[in-house]
Amino acid sequence: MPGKIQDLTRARTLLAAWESVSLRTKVTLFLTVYIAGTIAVVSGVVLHLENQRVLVEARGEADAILRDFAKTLYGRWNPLKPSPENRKSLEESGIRDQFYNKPNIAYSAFQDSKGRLLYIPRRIPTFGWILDRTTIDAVTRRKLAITGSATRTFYDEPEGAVVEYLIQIRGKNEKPMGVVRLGLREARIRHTLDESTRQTLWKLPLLIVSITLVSALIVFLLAAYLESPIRALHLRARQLLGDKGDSRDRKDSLAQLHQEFEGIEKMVQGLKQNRTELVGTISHDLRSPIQSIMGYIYFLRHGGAGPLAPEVERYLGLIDENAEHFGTFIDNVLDLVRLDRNRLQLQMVPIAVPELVQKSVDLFRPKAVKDKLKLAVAVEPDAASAVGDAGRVLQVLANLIANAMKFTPSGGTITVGAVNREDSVELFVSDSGPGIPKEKQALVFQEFYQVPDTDPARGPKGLGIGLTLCQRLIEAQGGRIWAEGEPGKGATIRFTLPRQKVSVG
Amino acid sequence: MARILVLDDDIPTRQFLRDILEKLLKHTVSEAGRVSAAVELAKGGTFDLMLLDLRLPDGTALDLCKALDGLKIAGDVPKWVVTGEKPLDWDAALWAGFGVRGCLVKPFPIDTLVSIVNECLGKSKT
Repeated sequence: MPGKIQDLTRARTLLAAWESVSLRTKVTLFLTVYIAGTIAVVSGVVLHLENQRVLVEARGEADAILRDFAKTLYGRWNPLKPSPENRKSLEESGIRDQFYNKPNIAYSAFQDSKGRLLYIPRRIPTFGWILDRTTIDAVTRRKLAITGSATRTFYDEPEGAVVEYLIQIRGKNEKPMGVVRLGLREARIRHTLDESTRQTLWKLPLLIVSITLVSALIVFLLAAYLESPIRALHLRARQLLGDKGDSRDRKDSLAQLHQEFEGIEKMVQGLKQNRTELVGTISHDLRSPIQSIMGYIYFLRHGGAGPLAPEVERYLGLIDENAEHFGTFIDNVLDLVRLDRNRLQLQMVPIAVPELVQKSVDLFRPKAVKDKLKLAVAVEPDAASAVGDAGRVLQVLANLIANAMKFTPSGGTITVGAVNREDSVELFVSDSGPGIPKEKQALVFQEFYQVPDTDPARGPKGLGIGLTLCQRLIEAQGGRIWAEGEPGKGATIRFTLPRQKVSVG
Repeated sequence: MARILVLDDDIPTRQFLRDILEKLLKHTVSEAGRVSAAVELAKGGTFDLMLLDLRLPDGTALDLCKALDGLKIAGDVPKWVVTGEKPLDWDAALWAGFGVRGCLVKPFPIDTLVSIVNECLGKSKT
């Protein structure tokens, strides 16, 4: 166990050390190793292919010499015995010299079909060795008879491997007459090649090192260039999070940046949540003061401080209206907070829709008269009963009517109605105001949303929570709410409530 | 002319209730900011209506009701709870046992308060 713990500690130390390496160093290290490795592998492959090529070339050369030789001797070398004529013919052919001049050729010899040595060129160091092998073995002979082409055999020699090339010579009647044997020192070729490779290899590390250094510099500059925005992001994220952070923290760690952005994401979510909470808390604390204001407006308007001048009465009316507005706003916010906290209880009961619609409209009659608006009711005569919390549905209708009145210029009409649908009762409030653009119709239910470039015909603009509350309340009652209409043709907000099941019998 | 007890720790609320109830509706108001003070007031005199805040520094409206019940005073005096937040577990039957008629949630229209006061006093007189 201690060993394991030690390993773990060591692994952690290594990991920490790696974490503490700056991003630009990491990137430089990675790319440099990659480039150097690639150069090394490619060079090795190229060298190997070049060696092969040289070797194949050398062999091809030997083959070519022998083939030429065989062609020259074809039908001329007769009789096959060491004679001045034969020697002359060989010298005349000029081929013999080729064997002397090639450093890679170990030996060359001519033998008749019985294996007797006919001619050995000068200056062949392995003369004695060749004499030991003067007889052509049966296999070679058979092979000669059949193929007549050059074949290769390997011999080990103290100086290194020698490859023997062997070619048959035929007479005019196609009868095998003898063979030419050519020993090629491939080992020497190889040695020469290795020598040149070694020289190249000597240069190769230099090449690799210089290319690597240059590329490392380029990569480092590039990495530094890429790193600066990461550092900037990191700092900005830190500022946003209000966290000075640990000075040991890397300012360029992508993993840390990721963590910080997760933190920001959480913070934004928290802020969104807190927004309602905060408005809720404020509203909660505003209830008593607004209650006092409402109390004193009532007090004054009912002669608590004596008779009032007509204009004071009018101004008090305006204050009252605003205080009421304020009260509704507080109610709405607090209801939203209650919905958020699942602390809103709904009393689901059968609702007589026509009566409820009438009640909601009646609430606004005095205000409609004052604002010169027409309030119309359009309920189907056989409107079915819905199921819901009557108080809450009335609250939704009141919110929608108040909203419609706010945005409808004097002389306009607000229609409140209900239509039977298959499984539901659909209620609506439509106005003859400016309407809501199609693309904004879904957005109006979002918290704190305001339709841009739309100003109410009267009253304050509001905070954009009335419709949100309506949506939440209707959805809590199993209904659906949406906006309709076109700009310039008025807006309609429709919502559904579950229809009361009529029991048969 | 009736005697009304207002129990609320918020001074402006007590003030406006007193102004409306006394100056406008011509009733007599006794104010208390704590449960203990309200108990003392109840011991010292009779009341026709009690308006009670739900939460107070030294207890709740329910604590007051229980204390009065223990002292066997003001059990039949109509009472209304006036609060910012109606409790989720509002037990109407439990409260009714102490003479509490209902819960008035702020902000409420003053008309509602006036009609509640008139209704309670009208009933108490008959």
